[in-house]
Amino acid sequence: MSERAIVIGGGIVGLSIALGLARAGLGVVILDGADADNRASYGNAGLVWVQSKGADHVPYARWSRQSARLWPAFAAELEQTTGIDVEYDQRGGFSFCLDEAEVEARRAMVDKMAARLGPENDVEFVDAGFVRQRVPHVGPKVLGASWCPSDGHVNPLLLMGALRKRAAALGIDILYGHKATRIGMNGSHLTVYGEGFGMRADRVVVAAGLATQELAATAGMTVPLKPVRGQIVVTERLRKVIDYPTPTTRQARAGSVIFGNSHEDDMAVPGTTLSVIASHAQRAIAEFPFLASRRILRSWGAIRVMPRDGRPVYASSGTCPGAYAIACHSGITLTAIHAGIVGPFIAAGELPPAVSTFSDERFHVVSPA
Amino acid sequence: MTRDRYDIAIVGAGPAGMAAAVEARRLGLSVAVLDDQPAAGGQILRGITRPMTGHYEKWGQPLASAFQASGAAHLPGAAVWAREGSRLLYSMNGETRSLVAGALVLATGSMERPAVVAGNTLPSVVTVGALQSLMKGSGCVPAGRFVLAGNGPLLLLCAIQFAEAGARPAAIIQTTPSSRLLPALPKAAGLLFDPALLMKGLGLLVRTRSLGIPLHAGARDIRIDGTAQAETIRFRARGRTMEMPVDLVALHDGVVPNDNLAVSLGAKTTWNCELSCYELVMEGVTKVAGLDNVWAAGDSVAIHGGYQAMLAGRLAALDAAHTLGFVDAQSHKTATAPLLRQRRRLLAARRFLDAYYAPTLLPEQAPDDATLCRCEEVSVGTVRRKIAEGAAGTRALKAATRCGMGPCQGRQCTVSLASLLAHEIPHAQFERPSLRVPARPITVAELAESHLGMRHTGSDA
Amino acid sequence: MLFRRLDEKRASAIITFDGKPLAAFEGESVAACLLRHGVGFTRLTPSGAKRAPYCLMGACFECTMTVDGHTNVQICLTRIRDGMVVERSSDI
Repeated sequence: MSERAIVIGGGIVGLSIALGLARAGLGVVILDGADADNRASYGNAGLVWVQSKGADHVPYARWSRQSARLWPAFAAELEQTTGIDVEYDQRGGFSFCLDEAEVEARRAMVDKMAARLGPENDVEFVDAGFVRQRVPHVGPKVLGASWCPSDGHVNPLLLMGALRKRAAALGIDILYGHKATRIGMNGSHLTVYGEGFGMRADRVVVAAGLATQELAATAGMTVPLKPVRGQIVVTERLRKVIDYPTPTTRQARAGSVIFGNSHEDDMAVPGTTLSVIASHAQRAIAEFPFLASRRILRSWGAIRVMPRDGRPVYASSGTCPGAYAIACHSGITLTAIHAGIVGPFIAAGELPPAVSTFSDERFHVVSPA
Repeated sequence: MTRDRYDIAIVGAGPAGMAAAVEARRLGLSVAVLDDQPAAGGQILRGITRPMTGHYEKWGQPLASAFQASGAAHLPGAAVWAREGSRLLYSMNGETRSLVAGALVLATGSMERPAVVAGNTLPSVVTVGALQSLMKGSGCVPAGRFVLAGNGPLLLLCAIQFAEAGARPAAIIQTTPSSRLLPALPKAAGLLFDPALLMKGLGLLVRTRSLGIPLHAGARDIRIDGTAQAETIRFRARGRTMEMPVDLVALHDGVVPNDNLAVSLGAKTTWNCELSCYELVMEGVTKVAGLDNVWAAGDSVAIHGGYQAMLAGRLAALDAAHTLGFVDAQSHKTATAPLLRQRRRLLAARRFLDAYYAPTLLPEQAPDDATLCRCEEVSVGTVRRKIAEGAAGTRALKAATRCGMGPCQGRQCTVSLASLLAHEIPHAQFERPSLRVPARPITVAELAESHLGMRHTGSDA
Repeated sequence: MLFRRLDEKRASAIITFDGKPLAAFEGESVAACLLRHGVGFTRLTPSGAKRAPYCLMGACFECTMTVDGHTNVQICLTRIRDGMVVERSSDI
């Protein structure tokens, strides 16, 4: 009989890991929460992004790039097996600079990335002319940008749908409304406990967004997280004229423009505020003047997950062998590597060597007496 | 951006809004009424300030006259889209303006329940309310062959009005199940509190007969077909399938609160299973729970009808004035007590109406090919499939189907979505999908100019 | 011609739809005017299906058109004005 895995959390990270575990032959059950729970999977911008990752931590830069390289095949396989086109598009991405201060800061980041990554680096600073050739509708305020051909974007809602459909096809059971409260050992059996249930498994992976911190702690893992609110504005469907994504503005294949890039640290209440989204609108018009007369239909402010030091956390439990915890900010970018590498490794009973630098041991600081 | 200051801002100029305005002015407050329609009257009193036809409730004209004489500032064509503290932002002719008001009364009324019927999105399929809007607001009546289909007293009322105006409907296709009358009768005792309502109901039936308008009762399985517009309507009645050629179909299945603005301002709602609609969560009769200095009155809170809307409007004005210090506690009590008593009596009268005219054209009764979300073109079948695949709440369903993400922001589909969910999963989660700013579509420039605050937007991922 | 006027007044204004002049009456909505003139649809959905005014009160957004250059205007909430130019919102 094959081994059994429980994944706590049915968002992008949980689903990706579950797919990896199932393909490695395990029987997988996903425990998901309530419909009203905060879900970063429904509140992100859909970027598959590497250019800004890991300038201060080379392994993160490498990890992100590795996942981005796996994405095209991953998206193709999803489409083949589910029939769902998740609108994955990877032709490169920009991050626009609208004044000299931004130009300077961006150049510095690009230089640092180049120095740290050496020949692996593919991020460069480009001038307005380069931008305009590829994105003809940018306004005169765009002075230049950082550019990376490895960047891309995907439709996050379609991705969720496709992952769920693939999961169902692989025999993965998703149990909604099953909130796990702790992980423990029942004798020698690794067990997940929740309200009215206790389930045994050979592997347990906590991928429950912000709830990961508390759940992981029950299995002796330290995953310090903070909620970060990102406010986003969405327009009506427009003719497709923006072909490259940026962190501040991107146009979905169906035509809506999604804009705004803000981070409110330790904000756990979803919603939007006028001053923030107004500043999003100001920036959007500076980047793309034609947007001024286009209509906004809605905005949202979703609570996302951010490990306190900004890097992903891949933890394995000492007290409950077989239990793992994963938390990251860039669940979308890392989908491919979670499904393709992390899941299968966990199935085999360990974490990939490349993530040893992201273990929770870095949080075990011994304070001076 | 002009900045005007008022003691109280009222959104909506229907019975509740006008009554609140009149009452607030009587109490000495300065009042601004923001009205997204081109003229005062809301829906049921549409056109009352420049009547083209005379069919109004008898309390309508006095109210409208009082409103026009009240000294309240009426801002037509103003679509309120955000509130920041006491500042209200509204869009008028593509430009945003704002005003400041210590108190806000939401009186945004009701709208037709979205009838989920095969062919409901074809051109020349409208609501019965739309026909009334065209007649009262623009002096137009249907020119060709038209039918009224659905359930509710408005169906008969409208048929009579149009017939008397020289545009007789070819048929009334009534979907109220005859099996409802007996179980609803015990609730009819409440009608004795509102004899006018009872007489009106009976009168409508009698008049319809005398006008010779064919009435098909107990109809179901309505389907509208056509290429570029509605051409035929099919339905089952008395065990037979009927088919009629039409130029226009007007649907009606009751009304539901038009509460998108309230929800986007942060108001909470609960799902009413009997009426298949959301209702605002209130503190007492008029205060919106959880919001500062926001009151609400009329059908946008819960469907109680036009006369109740008037009473509630007056109560809301009194409550707001009291909170703002314009009315002392004793005067407030003296003024509100009779209104509250009248309101309680009249609410008892509604129980029969609510039971007998409960919705009939719900998605659970519709075929898979009927449209549930008009904006995003999502069929009932797609929503059924997603529920079967595991979407167990309104949020999951919205994410899986895109229902509610289009220009109308769920006005025409959220109640249908929740209703279908309730039918398929009785213990599902009905949390209202969140609505944020803007409450109405505005341009990016309007948003950009609404707030010249700090830079919050960075460009790093 | 889906609708007709109840009164016998003379038209007091001309609006332009799709380049053609339409007789309009003071106080009526642009939606009423177009419906009287038998304009079959106001917009196309993303999949190309034709839609026309449905609720006539600003809650359905089926009647959005370009009015005097302003895109996505709900014509049921807009009163006619002499000289108004109304078009279907083209692929924007």
